[in-house]
Amino acid sequence: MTTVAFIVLLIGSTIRIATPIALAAIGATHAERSGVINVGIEGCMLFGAFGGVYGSYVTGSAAAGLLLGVVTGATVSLILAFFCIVLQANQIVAGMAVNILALGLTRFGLDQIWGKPGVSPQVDGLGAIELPLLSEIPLAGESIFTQNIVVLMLLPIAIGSHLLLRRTAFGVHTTAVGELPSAAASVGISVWRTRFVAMAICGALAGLGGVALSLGQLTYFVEAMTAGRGFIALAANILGRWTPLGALLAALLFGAADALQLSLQVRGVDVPAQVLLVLPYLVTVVVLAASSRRAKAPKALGEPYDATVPT
Amino acid sequence: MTTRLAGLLRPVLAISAALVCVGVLLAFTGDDPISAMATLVDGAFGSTRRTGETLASFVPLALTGLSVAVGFRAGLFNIGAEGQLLMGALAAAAAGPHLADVPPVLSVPLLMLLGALAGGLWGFIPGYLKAFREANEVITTLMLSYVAYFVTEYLITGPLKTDGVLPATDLLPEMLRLPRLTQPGLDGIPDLGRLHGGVYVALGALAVAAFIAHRTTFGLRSRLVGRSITASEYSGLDVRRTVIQTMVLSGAIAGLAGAIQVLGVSYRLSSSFSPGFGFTGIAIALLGNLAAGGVLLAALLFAVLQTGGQVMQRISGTPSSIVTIIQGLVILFVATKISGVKQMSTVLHRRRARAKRRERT
Repeated sequence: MTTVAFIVLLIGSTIRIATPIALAAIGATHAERSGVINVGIEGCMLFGAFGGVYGSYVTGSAAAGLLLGVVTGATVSLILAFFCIVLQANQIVAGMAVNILALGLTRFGLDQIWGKPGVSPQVDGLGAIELPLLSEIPLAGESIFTQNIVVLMLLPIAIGSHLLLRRTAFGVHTTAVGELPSAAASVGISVWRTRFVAMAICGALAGLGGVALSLGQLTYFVEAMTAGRGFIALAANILGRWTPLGALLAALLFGAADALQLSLQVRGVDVPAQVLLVLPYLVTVVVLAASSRRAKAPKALGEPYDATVPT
Repeated sequence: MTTRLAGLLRPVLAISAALVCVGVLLAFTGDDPISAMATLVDGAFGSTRRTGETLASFVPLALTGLSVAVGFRAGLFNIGAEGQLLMGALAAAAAGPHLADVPPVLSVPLLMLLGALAGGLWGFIPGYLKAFREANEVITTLMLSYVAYFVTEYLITGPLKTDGVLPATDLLPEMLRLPRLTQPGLDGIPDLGRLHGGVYVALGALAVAAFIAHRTTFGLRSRLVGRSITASEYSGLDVRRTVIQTMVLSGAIAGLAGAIQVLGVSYRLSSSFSPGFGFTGIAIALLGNLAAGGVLLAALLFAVLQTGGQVMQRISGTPSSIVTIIQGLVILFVATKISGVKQMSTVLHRRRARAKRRERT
């Protein structure tokens, strides 16, 4: 294989692998810009992945599965939001609870629905879509421009999120609520409502990320299949400096580490599998260590807002 | 006294609420929740042997719970006790065979120390990154758990692999194993399963931790940093040093748990070494109100759930994943602030009043 072919294939698999992380990372950006850390994003992804497979299993249609995955992710995120925003639970602790619940409940679900531990049966997965014209380019057409619907949605979602946060009243409200909620409240913005909406968007995107894994990459559900990707997404959001486009780029970096590891494994490079598998996690730690000091988090991040204080 | 009672109220409420939720879930899927719980309790205490097994699983849980509590008290969300535990287990399992000629009085404590050192090192990395690079420890500790997992997987399938097909290290020689509290087969002595001498180490660690927390300046510094980093800085406290020391201690306790589990129960490191001790530790620390005494009680409870849950799955087919679900629910409910509930009712009340006013006008 020529170097060009290798790189083209690598770009294609980078995009595919980065998609779940990028979607969740953009979701994390929405939530954190509003002042809520969604540590439960890993759980939202796992629930989304499960919901996707279950929806596809019941209806026989991957599209219905996709929808159920997104709704499941959003619902879980809203439940977490209720605990964090209204009940003032510590956001990190409550988020961890959601992650552990996601592990337990999806395992329980596998057992109850399909009666087998660990893995679901195969279901209808997301089909590949060939982009008109672009997909006719030799090699790149097949590797880069032929993707499933969720991968194709990634760029529009990233740009849409950028515009939403930058150019709309809701985006300004989100930022205000995340920086100085009392000031936002004093001009009549509902802190709680804004944060709930941001968390719903976050959960929906994380759920979609989960669907990209279960229906896009595998067409079945495996126990704990998100394997820390939600946390990598949180790191991507920090590396991307709390912007959707930054989060996208950061996720592509993590995707590239994973894609490189996979392609080396497939080509039978004489390195133990674990040395390669550990790459994305190591890259995450290194990148966080290198980029966190310069990052400016929203000021009210992690702080519950007391809506009973008269303004 | 009243504050102490109030301190107990929260965990009891959280546990009750979690059990009710799981009961509803079980009833919903056609299981009988009462009989499932009865099987679980019987599985944990039904015989001296089962009680012994329950106490044996109490050991790693008490230590990982303590590990998480030490971090959380300083406001450090070390959710990577799992990885620190694995590194501790790895150290003990790897060094053990080289100490076969050393008298056990020396070698066994030495292996525990090595385990604690390895875990402490695994806690030092996120501690340093937090202190000097401001890297979020929630993410780094979890990522490092994956790294620890792959490191151990690589070693037990490669360089440290024992002869045979099993991906595991060599079994420790007899003399390096922590003594069982009972020898099965002897008349008149109850069979206590795999309960081993490590239980005393765990209890000792809890006592030492309580002492460190309340009687040393380090304990005080740690708590102050947990309260407010800015206030600690203004009072001239070396926040960075405290952060790193706390993370090292937290990791060391988890590493000790791993070493003891190797020395007392599994005698080797294999793929299925930990059923998630480190993650259960999070639930234990929170349920135990981040205090040593609380961790002791919470670890006992989760030991019952874990041991009983396995028996329950074998006997009545009720999936043991409900133990994980209980864990998650307990954490969620403990995290909820009573003031939050009050706030919700105030806001709802106000909203209703506003709606009424609008009706009138």
